[in-house]
Amino acid sequence: MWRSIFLHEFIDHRIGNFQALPGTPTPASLALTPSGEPETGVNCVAVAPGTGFDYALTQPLPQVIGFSCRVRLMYPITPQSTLFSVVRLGGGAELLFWPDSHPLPDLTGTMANVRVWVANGFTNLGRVALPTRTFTDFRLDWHTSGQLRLLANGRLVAYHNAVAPGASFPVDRVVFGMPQAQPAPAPQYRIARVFVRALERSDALALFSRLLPAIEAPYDDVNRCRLRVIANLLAIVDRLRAFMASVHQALSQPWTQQNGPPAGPFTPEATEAHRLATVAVAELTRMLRTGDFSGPDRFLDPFSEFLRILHTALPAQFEALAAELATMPAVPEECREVLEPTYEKNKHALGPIVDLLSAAADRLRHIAGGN
Amino acid sequence: MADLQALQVFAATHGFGLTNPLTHAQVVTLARYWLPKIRFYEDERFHPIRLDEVVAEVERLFAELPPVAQDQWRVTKFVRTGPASGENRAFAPPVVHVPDGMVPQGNFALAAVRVLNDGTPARDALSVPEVGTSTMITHGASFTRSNHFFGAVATKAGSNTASPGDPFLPRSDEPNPSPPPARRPRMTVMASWLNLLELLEYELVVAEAGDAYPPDGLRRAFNIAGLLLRPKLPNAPPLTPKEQREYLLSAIAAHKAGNPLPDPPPGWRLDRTAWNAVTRFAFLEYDFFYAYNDFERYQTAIFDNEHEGDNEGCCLVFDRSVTNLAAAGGDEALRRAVPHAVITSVHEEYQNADLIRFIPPPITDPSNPAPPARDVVDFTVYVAGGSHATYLTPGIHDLVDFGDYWGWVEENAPYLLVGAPIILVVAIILSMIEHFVDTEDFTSEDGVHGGPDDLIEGDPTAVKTYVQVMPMSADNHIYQPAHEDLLRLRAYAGKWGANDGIVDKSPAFVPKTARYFRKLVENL
Repeated sequence: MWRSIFLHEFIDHRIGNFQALPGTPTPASLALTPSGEPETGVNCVAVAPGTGFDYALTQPLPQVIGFSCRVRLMYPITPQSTLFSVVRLGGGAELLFWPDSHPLPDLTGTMANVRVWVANGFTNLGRVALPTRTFTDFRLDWHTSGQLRLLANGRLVAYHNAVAPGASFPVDRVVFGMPQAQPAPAPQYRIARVFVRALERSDALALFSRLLPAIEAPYDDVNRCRLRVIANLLAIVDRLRAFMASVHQALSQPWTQQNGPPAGPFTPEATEAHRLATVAVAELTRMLRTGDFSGPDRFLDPFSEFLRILHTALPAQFEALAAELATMPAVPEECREVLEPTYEKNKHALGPIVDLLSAAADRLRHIAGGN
Repeated sequence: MADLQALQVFAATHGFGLTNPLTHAQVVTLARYWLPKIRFYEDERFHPIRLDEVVAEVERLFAELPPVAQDQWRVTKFVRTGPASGENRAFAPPVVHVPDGMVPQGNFALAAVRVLNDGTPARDALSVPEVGTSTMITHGASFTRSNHFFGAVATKAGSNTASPGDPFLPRSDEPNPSPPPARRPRMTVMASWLNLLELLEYELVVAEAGDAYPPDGLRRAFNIAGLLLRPKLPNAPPLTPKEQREYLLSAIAAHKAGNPLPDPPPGWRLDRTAWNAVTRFAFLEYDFFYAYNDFERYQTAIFDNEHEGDNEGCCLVFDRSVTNLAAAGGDEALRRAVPHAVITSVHEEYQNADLIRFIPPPITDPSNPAPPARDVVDFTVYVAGGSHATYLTPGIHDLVDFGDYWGWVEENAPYLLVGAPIILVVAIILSMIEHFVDTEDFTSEDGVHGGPDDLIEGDPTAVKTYVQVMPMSADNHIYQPAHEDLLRLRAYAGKWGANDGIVDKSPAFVPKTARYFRKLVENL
């Protein structure tokens, strides 16, 4: 689960009643007043150029490698065509809509072009409908492996497979609406929910750690070994992400609901790889949580099949990467004498986990060997 | 030590009473009146029960089994057989046990326990002197076992698969006053009225007593002194707990006497927002106690959460100036008192996921009497399937966690796993985990509905819902001898369940008052 950054559901009439990482809204943000939208009764805020909510984090997130922004939005029909911002994460990401100046023929809404800023460039994500009498849940997900998804009411409407691959950026604030724009009467729209999640470079390690048994860490860590080992591990994950970016580009294609291509964005192999990864992590999670490692194949089999799909997609790159990473130093020699006694002391708790992961390493070597 | 008599004497000596001017009878009126409409997820298998059912239902169902069928439900515990020896033994559930040190087993040692109810009723074991915060009561710590003793067995239509509109019915039941059927399902929630000022005062007195005050599941959880007294500057002189207590007790005394508040200790200030909240508000808390939390049955989540004994709930915040006035006007006046806010508990407090909704004061017509408050305030809560997190709206809820992530790395030392042969596998697993974006709770309108009889009457999925009001009033309170059986359960300070994994989520039944208070103050 990615870390939560900001959640405003407008559950009463106080703009200050929201959940977020520690931070401060600008005084102008507090001028917004949630109220019931007349037709739907949904509690929301109306924003226009010059108004919005700007929340500065006390501790900026330094290395964000993924985000998931959800905004519940209603856009009334208006005869203007102006690019407007919906949500922004510091200078690193922004979702913008550029609606047509004319409504849909049935007057149910307006079509809009979608533009997304990630890291250092814009991507056009096609067109979406902005219903005028109902709220739509938009969701924009990006991961540094290059995948960008836009969903409307849970349905995928646009996908890109190479948006800012390898990028990371700091997030120091969450902004929705248009507080920085020059005040103007239009465009005006309503927001009924904003939820932002983010993935920092080290978050997966933290989530994995959460599943491990608590142990007494070594005190005499004069070489700052834990930080060095963690840095090595994260460097390897960085390399894997770059490889996964290539895999995504091999197993998927840019796609929009409106223009296709009709085959959809994902190959069957991509879908299967996703399924296998989900099963493998679920089984591993269960084993770590319960301490029951009696059925290792429940994890090892889907893990191996997942790797096999990656290998089949990019065999030469897979084998080269495996060979390269196998030689990367994990634990500096001077750290072994610091860490190994602690490992030995906790071997009864950590041993089954190491055995399982060693079996997975055997299968990885087998696949990397072309078998 | 579960010294009930000491708790009773202490309460009598210090004039226990947390609801003044409301009498217990008035609290009962309010608690029944404001019982929330409770919406459960259709697939929910565990519904709110009384604390005594945690013990009694397991004992009853186990005793009803033929001896040959009992063995699979016995709970195996590692017990000491000598100074350096131990063995696994099976006990009839539920088992009440306390730690009994480490027993060497080859190259490592195993934690032994001492079972306090081997052949005797578990409820009696809760009175054993050794019972304290490290005691645990368990019926085996698995979904299978909890489902056997407490899980729903059929839907409303008699099916073994729930669906929207045909939910699982609570396992607890009772004779139906208007059969058929002969029996009807039931749920029970607990309620407490707590004046925050009197609660703080009593907690300070308990803290002053130190270890002389025995373990008490109701006490020592309202630790809000840190919110009330804040340093003026980062280098403020340290303030001892004793100095904190003495100042706050003197401030409470001055407030009650209508005198100016004493000056805070040098370098410290009284937080006016928190102090005003303490003096202004009372909480009407509803506790929903579930036999088992089976959140993981609902989804694949990297979020460990499966354990026995799950305490969730919600709270209404009342302005005492409103209820004090109403208290003098009879039950009708009480029913016109509109709450200030509602707060619900959502997973762990450190995740900062709890919800608060402020209730706008109703616009009153001076020429007409105010309507009953329940007519103008909707108080409906939605309980998430499995996790029992309590929400204010139906549907899918993104599970939020604003907590500290890096702490897990510090505490669980993943770097110890990263030997060269497996570092690549760990890295691959991490890159897979990066794609687990969501964890969600599921709430629904289509499951079992609980609530006050008059509000759920005619509802096809309504289930009779009782409120067990914790007596907290000067005229009738839990520390009086008449309530000793209830006190034995509620003062039990140990854990109300075990867990089936390595992550200890087993909870004591800690009052949520401090948690609700923090949520309130940060939003005032």
